[in-house]
Amino acid sequence: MAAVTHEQLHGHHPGPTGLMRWITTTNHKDIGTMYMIFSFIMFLSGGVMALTIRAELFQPGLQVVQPEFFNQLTTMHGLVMVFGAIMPAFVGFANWMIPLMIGASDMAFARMNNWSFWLLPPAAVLLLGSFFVPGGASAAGWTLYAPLSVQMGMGMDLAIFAIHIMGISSIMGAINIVVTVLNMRAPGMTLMKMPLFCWTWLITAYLLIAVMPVLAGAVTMILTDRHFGTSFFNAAGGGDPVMYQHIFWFFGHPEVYIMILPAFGIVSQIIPAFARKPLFGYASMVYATASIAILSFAVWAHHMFATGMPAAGQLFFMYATMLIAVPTGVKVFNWVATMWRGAMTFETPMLWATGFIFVFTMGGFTGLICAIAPIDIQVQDTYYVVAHFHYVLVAGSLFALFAGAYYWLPKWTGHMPSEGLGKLHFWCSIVFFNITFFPMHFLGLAGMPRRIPDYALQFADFNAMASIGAFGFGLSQLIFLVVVVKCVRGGERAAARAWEGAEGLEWTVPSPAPHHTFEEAPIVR
Amino acid sequence: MDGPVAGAASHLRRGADRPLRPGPRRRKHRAARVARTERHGWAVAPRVRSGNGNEEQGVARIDERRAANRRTGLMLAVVAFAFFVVVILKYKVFGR
Repeated sequence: MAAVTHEQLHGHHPGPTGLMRWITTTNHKDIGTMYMIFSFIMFLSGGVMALTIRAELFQPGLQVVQPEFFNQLTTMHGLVMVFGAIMPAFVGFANWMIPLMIGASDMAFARMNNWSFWLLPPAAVLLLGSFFVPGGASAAGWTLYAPLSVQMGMGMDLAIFAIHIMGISSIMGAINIVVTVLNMRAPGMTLMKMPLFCWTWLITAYLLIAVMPVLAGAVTMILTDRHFGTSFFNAAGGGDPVMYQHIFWFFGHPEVYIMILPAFGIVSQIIPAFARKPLFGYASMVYATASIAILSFAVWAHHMFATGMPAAGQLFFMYATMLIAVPTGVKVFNWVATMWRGAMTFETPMLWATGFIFVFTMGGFTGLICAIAPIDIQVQDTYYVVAHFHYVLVAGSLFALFAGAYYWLPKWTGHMPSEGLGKLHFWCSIVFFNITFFPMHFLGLAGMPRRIPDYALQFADFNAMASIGAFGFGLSQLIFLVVVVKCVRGGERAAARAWEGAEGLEWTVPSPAPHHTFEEAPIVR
Repeated sequence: MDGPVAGAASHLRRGADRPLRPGPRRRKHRAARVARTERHGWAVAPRVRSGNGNEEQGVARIDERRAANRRTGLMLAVVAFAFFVVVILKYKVFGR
């Protein structure tokens, strides 16, 4: 018998190179990398839209864009950031890290994984390309509320199609993650031994499978209302626009947790590593994550207090929403308890993680305020709500993504990221973030409505401050780009265990992680 | 418990190193696979993933694992599609 090479023995073939390697790859690390590059490009695209919005709002009056285009920008900024930047970034992290963390050789469905990713660029082209069709992009807000969404031009059809494609991609990715976590764990890796990042993603994936089809159903009904003569939401035909809001937010609120639970997982990996202590209350963290996910299905109408609902309904949704503060509080308590009397050092990932706890908690508290029905009716559709969800999604999701990126960059690239630039990135981001979004609380409480290109003179000062902060925040993100490029090109070599206190299977493989890992499943004891 | 949830439930109880329980169809498929392995030698055998077993057991194990993956994946896909259909039908048939 002819000699068998190592490559043959392990089923590796040289495979295509260049562009075709990336198009045809089924390797979880390649696909994870592509997800992250894609999401960063979308983050920059959405960021440019945000800066255009802030440039217009720098002073009262219309200076930069027309009102119609302003509405398109606010809509597309939301859609791009939610579906194009934050969600794919977390899926990228899941692709890279879950197989490494559970000792699997790859994701369960490697080819489907490739397809999940490659659905995204066409969807992004549809979404961004809608700016150039007659009538421009969708301008109904990222929520695509009827009746606006039923009436708009072709840009809405493109947005609906893009959402369908991104939804299919998300569902396929979620199925892949659930099956990988349930079926591909290394021997001995019981569920309660899994790293918390895997747990949070497992629960997130179930949320995705449950709610993305609901969004798909909602936008399909909009589509049939627009083109096939149905009247689900068209009041002229007996439909009900408020019903759309109910369906949308049944998706929309769990969606918020889809964007934050993996962030909790990342932070729960980082804090024990830099506090040099095991995570405090691991089991309670798992149960808290599950509780948040379950409760997220029972709170959707807190987004709709102002539409009018019976007092009993208001009370139910108010108290159910406030109940979410309990498991969230458990998490914050456990992170702080993990740090308590730990041998802490503040390398860049830890800075981002502690920054996350600080600003995310502020976002959580304003969420609690918004949950109180009488207050929510006052602040509904004002900049207070804009401030709240940016504290949760930028300071929450985005900061955790940066924390995770700095934490795992050594494993991805084989080089340590620049501490100096990383810390500069953090401090610029957290300072400019607060300059941008903290004044929005005051603007909202003073009554400034969201989604308007012009405003009354009394709001001018805080808006100018927010716009300066936004440009500072936007420019700060270029530091991250520099850090990543430098890290990929070279720098201090990273050890297999790049951080002294880091624990887990991913730190047992060399840095950078080889193309194929854990072909022989490790035994976890 | 049998059917598509069997794999997941077993994992919940005992982790991933549970013994595998192939059904009759799986057993037939595994026998064919092992026969192929014996004919072609290394062509199939390298797919052995786990180091804790002989070649035949390894091939069977990866085969069963893939079948379990397909079952779980299919079940989740059906659930997702059912949600999509139910959301539309609910409002199409019953209105609000």
